[in-house]
Amino acid sequence: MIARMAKVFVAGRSEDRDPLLEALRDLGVVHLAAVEPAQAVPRPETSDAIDRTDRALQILSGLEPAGPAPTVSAADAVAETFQIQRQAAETQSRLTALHRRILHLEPWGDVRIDQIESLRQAGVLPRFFTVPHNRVGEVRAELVHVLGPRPGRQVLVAVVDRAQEPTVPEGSTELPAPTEDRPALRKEAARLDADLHRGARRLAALAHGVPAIRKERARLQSQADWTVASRSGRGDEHLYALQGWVPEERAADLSASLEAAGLPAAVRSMPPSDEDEPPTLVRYPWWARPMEGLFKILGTVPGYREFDVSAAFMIALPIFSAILISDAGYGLIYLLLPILFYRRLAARGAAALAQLIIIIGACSVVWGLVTASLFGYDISRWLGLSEPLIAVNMVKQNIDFLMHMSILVGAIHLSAAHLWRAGVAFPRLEFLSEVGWSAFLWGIYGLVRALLLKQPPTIAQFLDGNVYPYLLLVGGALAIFFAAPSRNPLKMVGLGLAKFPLSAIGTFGDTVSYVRLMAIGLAGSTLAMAFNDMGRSLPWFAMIPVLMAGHALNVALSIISLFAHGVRLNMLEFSNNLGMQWSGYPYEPFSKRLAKEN
Amino acid sequence: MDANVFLGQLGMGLAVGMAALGSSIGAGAAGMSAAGAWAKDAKAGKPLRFIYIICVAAPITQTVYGFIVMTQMAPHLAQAATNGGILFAIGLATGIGEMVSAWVQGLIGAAGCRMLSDSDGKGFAFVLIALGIAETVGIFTLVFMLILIGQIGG
Repeated sequence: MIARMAKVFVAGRSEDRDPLLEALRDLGVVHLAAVEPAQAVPRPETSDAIDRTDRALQILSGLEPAGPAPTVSAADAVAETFQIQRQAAETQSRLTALHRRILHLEPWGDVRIDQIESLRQAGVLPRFFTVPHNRVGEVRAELVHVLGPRPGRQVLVAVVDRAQEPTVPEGSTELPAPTEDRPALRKEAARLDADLHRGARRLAALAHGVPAIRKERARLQSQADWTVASRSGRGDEHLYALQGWVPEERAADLSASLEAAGLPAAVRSMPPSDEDEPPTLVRYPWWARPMEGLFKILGTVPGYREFDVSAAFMIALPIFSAILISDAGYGLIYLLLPILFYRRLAARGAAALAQLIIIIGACSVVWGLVTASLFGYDISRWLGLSEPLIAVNMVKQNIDFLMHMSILVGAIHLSAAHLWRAGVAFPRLEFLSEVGWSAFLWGIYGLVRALLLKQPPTIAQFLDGNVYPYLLLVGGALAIFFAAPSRNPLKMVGLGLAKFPLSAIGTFGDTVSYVRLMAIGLAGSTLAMAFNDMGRSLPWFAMIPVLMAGHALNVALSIISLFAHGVRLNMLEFSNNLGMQWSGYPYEPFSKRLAKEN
Repeated sequence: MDANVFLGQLGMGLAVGMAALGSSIGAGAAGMSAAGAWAKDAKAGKPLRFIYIICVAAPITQTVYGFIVMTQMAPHLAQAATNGGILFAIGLATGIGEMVSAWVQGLIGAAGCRMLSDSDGKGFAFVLIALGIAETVGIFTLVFMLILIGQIGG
């Protein structure tokens, strides 16, 4: 249910501004609406500090605390974390460059610069040439020594000739003597490596301070919230006033609460006008609360005047997911993993999502038993059946059955959306338009069945002796006539006709779209069976990893299918037919924020 | 070999081959974008988001749709001497439909990864819907081609 909101105005004396804000913060029920939103922003230095703290937390949270806990403040720990991280990035970059240079010096071996210098001082001046490998014999000098191969069918040759007149064949190139040597570079690399390790150890020590940094983060957020709140109102030397939104049932006692806090303030509340866009507070039914986790991931909020679809999603999504997964084994994975890791997930604030996955897993196990499929193996015999109740395989009649089931599920789902809209619109005449669309949808269901499944085999048979053409006609007529009720019948029909064609095509598309339930379920089953066939032809020691990798891949693909298809059928097809725009923003009352310890 | 039989066999290959090509290109485009978004997020000290994977993997299913059409075409190969032309047309139409659907879906996924990285993950539902719309073309291709295959049978 979407909670009804009341618009509130609070006014007090200017000198009471801070106590008034404190009282409102303690009450924690007013979602402040800034008079001038562009002004209601935190101070830049607070925003920067929050960003830096978030990044430091990101770095330190992933580390296992080790070594003695440092005695530094949270702010200093954040600053030091940044410094170490920046230095580590620079050191890493220098180390990579050093390794490249060491690689580049490989042809010179471990010769040191001081050794070459000693030779020079002794009057021996070695020169280096790359020479085509088949012409090394043509090099003429007092001393010729082949050092090793070079790319491009060349070899590196060291030449000493006191007269400085060596002869080299055509195609040879003189290389300058190295200006640095590998031993020195290796020493430098070892020093940088030690720096990196020192930094990593210090970060591990700083990780002890994560809880304190979280508290600091909460303090900074409160500071930012306070600034935003104080800049949301408007005042002069006498008065200060704020506006905001409060759940309707809390509006009445707001004035009394401020009075109890010893603040003389005037409070006025009123219902939102048609032009107002109040924030959305969704109060989920207890059994649909797991959907909260999904909506958090999706980042969607219904508009204040739209529907709370959590209950509808809670019914449809597990059913769709079960059909998409179509395997009891995969369902067991969905069921057991979140149960095993429930505490850890709950500690990370993902309890609702874990509950949703458990429900999806349970439904998938049930559907998997109906299809008698366990990791792609037919388990009909284990279940005491001669064949699966519903087989998910490439046999044509089974595909036809699954396709029929999919479009039937679609017709039920979409017509439920229109009936819901009709219920809300009642007793306004628009409700007849929604009833019409619901009937039209069942006509479309009959048409899709005839086209796709040949039930009945020809369009002539579909048109003759079937209820569906009448549903199309009557439903279409209602949808057109009552789309925009008016006293002017011409205008009414004109507007209805203008809207109808695109919506009718959309309805056809939406109904056919549910065939994806069959397509994805079938694809998953086919892949599972293919992996099993692959494994069967292998010895047991190779079969186990092949089966594990194959089924793990299939489970991973099914997770994506749940989002790309299961969620989408709810978010797009169902929501569209329900008229959802998802145009809301969340109700976030001005309140004290507490640090999350985990 | 009879030219009609050859056309029928070619059609089966095209249905799944072109769909797989589109899936590969689409997943590749989205994958490159996701890698960039992960690198950007990591540099900014943000958590690495799983939701990019969904954008990358979305174009895979079109290959499966091509495969389903191919398997439904297979029984009609026995009459390929008379149906070779229509089998080829179905295979080609499936291949093109699925390939372009997967390719475009990958491009939407790539844009989605960039958008989600910039918006700190907000608006994922809308990316999902946009991905779904591109996929609907692939689903329609599958369904309409299955209808056509049914017509051959009847």
